[in-house]
Amino acid sequence: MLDERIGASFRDPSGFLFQREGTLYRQVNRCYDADYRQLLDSGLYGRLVERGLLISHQEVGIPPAVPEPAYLVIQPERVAFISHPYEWCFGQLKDAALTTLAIQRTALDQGMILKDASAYNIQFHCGRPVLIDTLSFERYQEGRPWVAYRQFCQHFLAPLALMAHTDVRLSQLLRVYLDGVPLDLASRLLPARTRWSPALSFHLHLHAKMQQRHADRGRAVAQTKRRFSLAALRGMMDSLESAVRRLRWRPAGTEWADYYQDTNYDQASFAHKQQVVSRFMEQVAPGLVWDLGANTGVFSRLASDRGIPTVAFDIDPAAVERNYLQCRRQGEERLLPLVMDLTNPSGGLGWGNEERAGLLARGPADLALALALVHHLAIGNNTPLGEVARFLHRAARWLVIEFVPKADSQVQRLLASREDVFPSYTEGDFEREFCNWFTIQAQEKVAGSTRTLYLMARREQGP
Amino acid sequence: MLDHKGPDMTCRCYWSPATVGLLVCLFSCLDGPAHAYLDPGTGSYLLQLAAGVIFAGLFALKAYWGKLTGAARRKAAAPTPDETDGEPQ
Repeated sequence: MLDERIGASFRDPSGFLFQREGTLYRQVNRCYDADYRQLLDSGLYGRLVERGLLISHQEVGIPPAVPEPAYLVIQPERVAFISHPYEWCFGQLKDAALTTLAIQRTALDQGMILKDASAYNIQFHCGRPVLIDTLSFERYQEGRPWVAYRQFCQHFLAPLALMAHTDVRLSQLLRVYLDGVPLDLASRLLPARTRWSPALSFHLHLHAKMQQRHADRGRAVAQTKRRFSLAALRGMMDSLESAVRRLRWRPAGTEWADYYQDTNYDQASFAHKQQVVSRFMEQVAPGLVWDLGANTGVFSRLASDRGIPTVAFDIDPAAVERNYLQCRRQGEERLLPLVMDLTNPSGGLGWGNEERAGLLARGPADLALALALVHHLAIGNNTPLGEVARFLHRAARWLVIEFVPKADSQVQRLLASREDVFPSYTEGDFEREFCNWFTIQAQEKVAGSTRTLYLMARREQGP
Repeated sequence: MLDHKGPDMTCRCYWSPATVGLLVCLFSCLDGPAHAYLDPGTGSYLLQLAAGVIFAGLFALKAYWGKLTGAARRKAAAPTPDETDGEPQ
């Protein structure tokens, strides 16, 4: 049998993820057996799964991927779409941080502790952040500081503070620094007023200084006799939680935050567009939908409200934040909003460029919605229509796409301050280029507008 | 703890008490499950140790305050003797 190791799962000797015949498994190694038994026997696993904080799993009697160190193999519940922290909006990262701390608290109640606090251990599953690394727990030994404290501050507290106090776009630092934002960098970028916050001052600014001062002094750890009591650890958890909760960001003031107040659809046109998109979707009956340029998810919900797992991508952090807050308010389980610049989508990052999969590697989706998008790519980003078609061919098997002609006011707005160097941006050119990659299954003009909606099926091969 | 089963060797060595003491210190401070794979960072480690007393004190204060306010809430919610008279049988 051919097992495929998962690119991100290699650092922890306790075990690793692998795929066999399309099913995801986690091998648990012998060196982790005592902690694994404690996780189950203490009731911690049950409590966390019941509260929706830890992904559930089943023990399976299949041969391990690497027999020599193996203890057993478990099959975790599958997450519909793997997302990365640099694709999350502020609210998602904050909720992921609070979930990590809640899990830590519960673990301490059962005599265990998190041995890592990586943001990559959290995924959004059925609308909520959940820990997916079952092997993150170890038996708690009182007296030792929290080994994952630095990682928590770099993965969660530092980027959240930067997003809240400096600029929300600084979440993209997590693309460059996969082990979280270095604390000295965060300390330099944060405004001086954050030093008045005792929690940020301690966990970020002073923490950064201590890291720099003791960078080459491993012996200091070996020689100290000091202990870090359970009460101290719980106190530190309270402090971290308080610091995270106090960080807030209001989703307004960005370019696309108020998009739906500013379109040129009247109510009837908008309703007609929704009907056509719904009808096209019912024709395809997709299992996974990507809404590209989703804004606040109005059209994404045509899929997710039908129970179809849907990922709503948008370049604007405020639009994604609003979408996420609505998901949370309404308890939506099938919609995952994410921040994504389609002209620069997440690529393969980390070790071997395979540790964190790029966007297209996580596809294709069954169906992509590309509504009011093509003109932004073709005119706003100077991308030839053929290239747009090639990208969408890789992204999804089916496409519901809206062509927005030059006469439309949204395109006129894009051309207002620049020369029109797009003689090939016409409906005829659009159909010709896309027919190299797709077959047109249906098309319909949106009532009361100059726009046309298409349903397209991917060809096996392009030109 | 990983098992390191190397080749069986016999050697004549002399360990001074200071050396033994340092080794015991090293292993007791750094010992832990082999699967604690993360580097905690020296500065992060020492920062926690330095602030341990403060965090423990804050936690104790919070617990004490919680008990005080809990007791006050229970007292406020408890029925007075007049409220219990005349309850339906």
